[in-house]
Amino acid sequence: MLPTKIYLMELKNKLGLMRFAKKILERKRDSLRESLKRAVEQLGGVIRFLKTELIELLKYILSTAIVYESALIAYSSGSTEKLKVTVKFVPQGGVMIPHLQLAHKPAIKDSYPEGLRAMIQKTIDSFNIVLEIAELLTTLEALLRESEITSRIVNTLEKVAIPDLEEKIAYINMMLSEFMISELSSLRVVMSSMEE
Amino acid sequence: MAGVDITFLAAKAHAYKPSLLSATEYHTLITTRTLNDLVNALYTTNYKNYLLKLTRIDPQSLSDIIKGVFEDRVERFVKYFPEEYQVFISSYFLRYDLPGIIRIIGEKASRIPHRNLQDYGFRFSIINFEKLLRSKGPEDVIINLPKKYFGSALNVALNLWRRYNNLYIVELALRRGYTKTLLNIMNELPDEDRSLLRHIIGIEIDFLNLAIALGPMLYGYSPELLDEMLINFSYRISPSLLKQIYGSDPRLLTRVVPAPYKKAVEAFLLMNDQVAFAEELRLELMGAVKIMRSEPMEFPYIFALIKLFEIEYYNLKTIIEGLAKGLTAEYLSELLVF
Repeated sequence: MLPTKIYLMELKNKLGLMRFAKKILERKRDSLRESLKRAVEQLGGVIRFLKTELIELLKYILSTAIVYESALIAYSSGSTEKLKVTVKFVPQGGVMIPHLQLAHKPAIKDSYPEGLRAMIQKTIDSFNIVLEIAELLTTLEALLRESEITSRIVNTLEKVAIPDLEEKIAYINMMLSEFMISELSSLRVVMSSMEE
Repeated sequence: MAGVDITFLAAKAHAYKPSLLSATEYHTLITTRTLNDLVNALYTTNYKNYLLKLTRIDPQSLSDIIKGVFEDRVERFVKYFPEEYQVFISSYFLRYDLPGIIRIIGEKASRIPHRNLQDYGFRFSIINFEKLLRSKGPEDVIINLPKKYFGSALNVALNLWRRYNNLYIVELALRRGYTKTLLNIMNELPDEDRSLLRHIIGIEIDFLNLAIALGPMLYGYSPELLDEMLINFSYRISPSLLKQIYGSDPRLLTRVVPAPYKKAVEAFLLMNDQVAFAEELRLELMGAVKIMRSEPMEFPYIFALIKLFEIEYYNLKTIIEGLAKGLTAEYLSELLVF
């Protein structure tokens, strides 16, 4: 490290940039925390749904599958229609969050016997809520991951990079002052010898 | 060996009746929490000898054992019926084969490889599944079905398949075909037998008609098409009444059906078809008990016993699958019939 004025100016510019970046990242971290808070609030409703409706729905599907097992096997072999879900990415708190939407529901008209048609209908009716849960959990995961990365960068800037730069700047400042003092002393010696 | 005296077979049926599981035994089976516990509980019942063949405890092996017991029990009677009853019972057993037939048609249509032969039917099946599996395509499967039992329904099913390419409509046509044949054969039986058999077969047809009628009401199925599929037989519900209420509010059905069917219709309307199915079996069980009380030494007694064997097979299969899939005892008991 050369204790020069040019290098000192470079380091000062770098420090300014880092402080600016830290400020922006802190703002991003706060916004992510807000988004996380909102998602967690929504999670309360989801847990209630999981406890009541989803478990009931799963039990219903299982019991229907047990009772109508032979019909289920017979019709699943001949059925080719599938549920289609579209995924759109929407920015939220600086992160792209997937937005899930049911694009195509299989038509049950004239196609399935008793048991299966009710099971398919009930599953399709509840599918939007299942998609909402999937969307919310994916959002939470993405926000948590992004928030952790942002916090780590802010911490690195705050605890390592910025103090390191400050230390370097202080060292160069000190070195430059010492150079100046020794230069002044030398000048004084030169001047006194010239006077003599 | 065919054509053993029916009184002898009825006496044999009396000897087999105690082998059915009792309500206490069912309660013990429901409260088990694992398949191991279930096997231990079954060892205390008449299933113990069959369980000796069990090499490992998993749902499939256990279901195979239970299926084997059902097949054994049915074969002990079905092979020895006199001619007139043999034809009737063979025709009746088509109901067990229909899911296998539909599965083969579906697999042929989607070009999915077939499974093992024994997955499609039972040992006493009258359908030659080997021949069906060898068929070239779905149409060939329909053509290769026995005309003796399905009659003109085969042509109807074939035309419907060509026009709509729809498994359910083909299934309905076949169901209607064999039910018509079954009713014709039933008409050949003595009056006393016929009137007693109606307590089981009547309920089955009523429920089939109910399910057909609910299609347009709840799921938007085409009424014209299903109209043709209703079976013209009346036990407790008349098909003409069902045709009249197609377009109206489905809830109206709870008011027009007889009291014993109300619970099942309510379950159908709430889309709890599995509960409605259990309710149908419960009514059939009551019908079987009624038959056994009124005619202890004739064919209906044996037929009712076979029905009870079927219900027990259904119950045990439900318990095994329920335990394997983690259903609670409360949920399971709603599906069981005893």
